[in-house]
Amino acid sequence: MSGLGGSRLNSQLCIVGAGPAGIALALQFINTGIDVVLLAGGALDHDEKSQALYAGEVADEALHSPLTEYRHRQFGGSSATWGGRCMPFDPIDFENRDWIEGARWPIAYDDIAPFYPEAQALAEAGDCIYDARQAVEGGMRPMIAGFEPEFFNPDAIERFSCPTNFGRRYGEKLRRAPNIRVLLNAHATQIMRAEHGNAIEHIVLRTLEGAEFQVHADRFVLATGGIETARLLLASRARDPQGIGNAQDQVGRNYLCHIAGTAGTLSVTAPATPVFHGYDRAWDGVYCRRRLALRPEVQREKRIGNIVMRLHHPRLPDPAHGRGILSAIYLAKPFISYEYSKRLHGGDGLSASLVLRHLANIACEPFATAGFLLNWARRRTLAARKFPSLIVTPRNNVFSLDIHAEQVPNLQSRIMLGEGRDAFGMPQARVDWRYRALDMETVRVALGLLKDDFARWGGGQLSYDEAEIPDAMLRDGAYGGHHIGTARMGASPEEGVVDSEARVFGTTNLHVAGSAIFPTSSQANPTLTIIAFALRLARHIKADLQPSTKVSIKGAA
Amino acid sequence: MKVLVLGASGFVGKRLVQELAARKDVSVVAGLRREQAEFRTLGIEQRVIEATDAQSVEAGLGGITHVINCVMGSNDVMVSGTKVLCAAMSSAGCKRLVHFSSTAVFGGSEGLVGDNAPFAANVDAYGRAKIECENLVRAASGIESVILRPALIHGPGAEQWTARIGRLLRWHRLGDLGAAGDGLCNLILVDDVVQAAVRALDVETVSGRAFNLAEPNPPTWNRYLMDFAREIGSLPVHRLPGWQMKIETKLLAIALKLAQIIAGKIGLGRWLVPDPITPSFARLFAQEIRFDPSGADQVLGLKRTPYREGLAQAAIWFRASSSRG
Ligand SMILES: Cc1cc2nc3c(=O)[nH]c(=O)nc-3n(C[C@H](O)[C@H](O)[C@H](O)COP(=O)(O)OP(=O)(O)OC[C@H]3O[C@@H](n4cnc5c(N)ncnc54)[C@H](O)[C@@H]3O)c2cc1C
Repeated sequence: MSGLGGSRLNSQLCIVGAGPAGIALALQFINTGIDVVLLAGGALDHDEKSQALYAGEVADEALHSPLTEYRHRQFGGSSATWGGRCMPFDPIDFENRDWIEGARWPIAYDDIAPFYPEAQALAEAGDCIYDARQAVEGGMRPMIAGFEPEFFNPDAIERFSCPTNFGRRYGEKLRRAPNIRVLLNAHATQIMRAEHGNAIEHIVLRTLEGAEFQVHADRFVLATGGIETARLLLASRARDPQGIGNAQDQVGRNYLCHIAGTAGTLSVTAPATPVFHGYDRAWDGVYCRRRLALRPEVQREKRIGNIVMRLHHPRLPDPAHGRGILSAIYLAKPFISYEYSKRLHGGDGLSASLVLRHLANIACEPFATAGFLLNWARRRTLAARKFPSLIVTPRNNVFSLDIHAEQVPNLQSRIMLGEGRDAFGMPQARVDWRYRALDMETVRVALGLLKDDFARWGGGQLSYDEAEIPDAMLRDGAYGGHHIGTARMGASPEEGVVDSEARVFGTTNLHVAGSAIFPTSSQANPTLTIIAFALRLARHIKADLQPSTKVSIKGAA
Repeated sequence: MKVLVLGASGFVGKRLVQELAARKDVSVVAGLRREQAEFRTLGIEQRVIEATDAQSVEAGLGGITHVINCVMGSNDVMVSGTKVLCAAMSSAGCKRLVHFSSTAVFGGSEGLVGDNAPFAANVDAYGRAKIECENLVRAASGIESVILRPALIHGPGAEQWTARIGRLLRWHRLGDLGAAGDGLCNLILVDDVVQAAVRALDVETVSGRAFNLAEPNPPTWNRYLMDFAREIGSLPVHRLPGWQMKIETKLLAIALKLAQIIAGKIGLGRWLVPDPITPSFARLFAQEIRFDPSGADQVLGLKRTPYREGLAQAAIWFRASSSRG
């Protein structure tokens, strides 16, 4: 990867940020003859000093994790740690849903759908097939045999990436490309508009060693993640006192995550009913798992948001589950990273008596526990395509529900600039995450509908305490790692920050790639859709830029 | 025209003889080291020829107008055989030599390689021998020559690029290779190679012209390995961790190579020993080389079998032959 020559770098396309969005975008320009600079904003791997640049303020620490968590300032971005869960947005996400304020996209599902197969390939998540009956030859195993819900689609699935670390996976490919320069450890601190007109002229870069230089380009793309994109736009005040793209005070608003948590007790009582909540593998080894997805017509009728649920093992902290392996994992908490242990373990403290009861669980199932751990080592620790998550079959077919719901648009939920400054003197981000009543309502209504579905079937019961739903959904605060909506797409500058081509309103040559541009959050995890939008943006930019004569096209002999 | 196929007992040679035998406008002679019952039953003329022995070759050329040279052997055998053949053909007054070279002459090059691209500098011993043969063929006086450079020949009967790959996929020693498998897999179906050689016998072209034979849009190695695994039903495909490939190329390969040599020496079939994945084999998976096939398309009028169809043919053969053996 190139060093930094001189105080000014020229290129045709400057991509700021090398996470899944920036890397997917850059890959599309290999051997096009277009001169590309890709800024990683960190080192090849995790590095404390770069990571510290992400530090910021959080208005309510119970509702949002610290800003140095759930994102990674390095080559590959947060894909260095992501879980790899993939599924596209649903067509209903792009509809004008008049019952949800602000749920409006300037484009339709069909505008993005063609890019999903290639996005899947880059994420290494296999075929773009999201129907359990087709994803695996002969169909996937049923979740609950014989259960045919009316309100939910039982054949919806999620697929899993390796999970692919985009830096490790594609770094070599980028390094080999003669027309792409990857700069490590160079941090954008300011986007500079030209003195006259609406074009961005250059980006100011700083290194932690004290160097400062500029990248000039015809086109710029911000792919710095949902929080940093807003911060960078807001902090670029040299020529625009409110920040770039912020004439209408829209940047950083509508900060969405997902509403998620485990709730309810589902007991399947029908005799001899196989219940399977684990993974099937597609022909290419991709792990697939079923989920219950609230049908779009039901969302319309009930006037709520999008939501999915999975069967889940009982909550770990309560030793009453009686499973040795669950207890073992609970006790192993200190060895599991914050990002993954937070939701797994819940916030409760460990008392001596609790520890004893967990140990007793392990003692009662020594072989099952050891077998599980061996299997885990083989299929996860040592494997390149990793078994995605902990699957433990509970006793007596009693499960909890793992819920992942859309967070509806909310202009009061915001990323702003805080008081603190980073090592470059750049204002830190301040997060004030909020949710709306409709967010809890979506979960409440959906649980009620699932309860009805089970009651109608007769083979199982779902029970939960309605009053405890907000607690269950907010126990761990906003779902970590999904940073959405802060530079959302809109039909006009009053409705958003970028236009339907992801160009920042009021500029001619600044685009955004990443979940910042999504006006709504869907039930889906964002990364696959982030990649699909990056591919769409690449096509758009390619149509506008001519190959440079300065770069040789490899192999054109 | 009377065509001698030298190396007629080999994989491509045998196919060629069969193909030419079915034609009315040519008479074909199989040149080989030991007569084959298969050819005898088909009524095909056979001549026992020692490729490196000038007298034997001269004797074998009686009445021959065209020679297709697909002799395989050690590098020395290939080079001295080519030298002998060229000399014998000019003194016998033969018309044309169709000589099999290989894309190995381009070694570790990357990018798009045309028919007239210069040979690479970073070439292994096999590639160097092939280059030397090409130079000998071009320098031969009094005969016309056409050089064919097939890439990786796959399809029914192809030991290296179909059977070996199939076995390695069965054992999950190959599969989805991730970043190590992003190189391009330049395949050519054996039928298409045969077709090209037959056309090369009488096509009008400059003497000494070489044709690269490969897919115009080659799949990546990952794509090929996964597609072929799917065709032969070796599922699910495994994503191979980096450490597994390291063990293969750094440790296992040496042991297996040795075992193969010993097995050969003591008269056991080499096939009893699992295939090694040598470092040079593994390097191929990451090599981003592509061959411009437009010369073969335009001059030889080669109609290539589509990738998917070739793959299916290869898989049917592999499944049948591995269930027998
Ligand atoms: C623990 C965890 C689990 C997750 N699991 C899933 C999952 O299962 N499914 C899913 O879809 N998503 C998941 N995610 C989210 C996923 O990681 C993100 O959606 C994805 O990484 C976003 O990609 P991006 O390229 O937009 O941004 P990022 O990955 O955040 O990359 C941003 C890039 O910009 C660089 N950068 C930042 N600031 C600057 C600057 N000022 N100058 C230069 N460069 C800069 C960074 O160094 C980085 O390279 C998870 C996230 C976490 C943390």
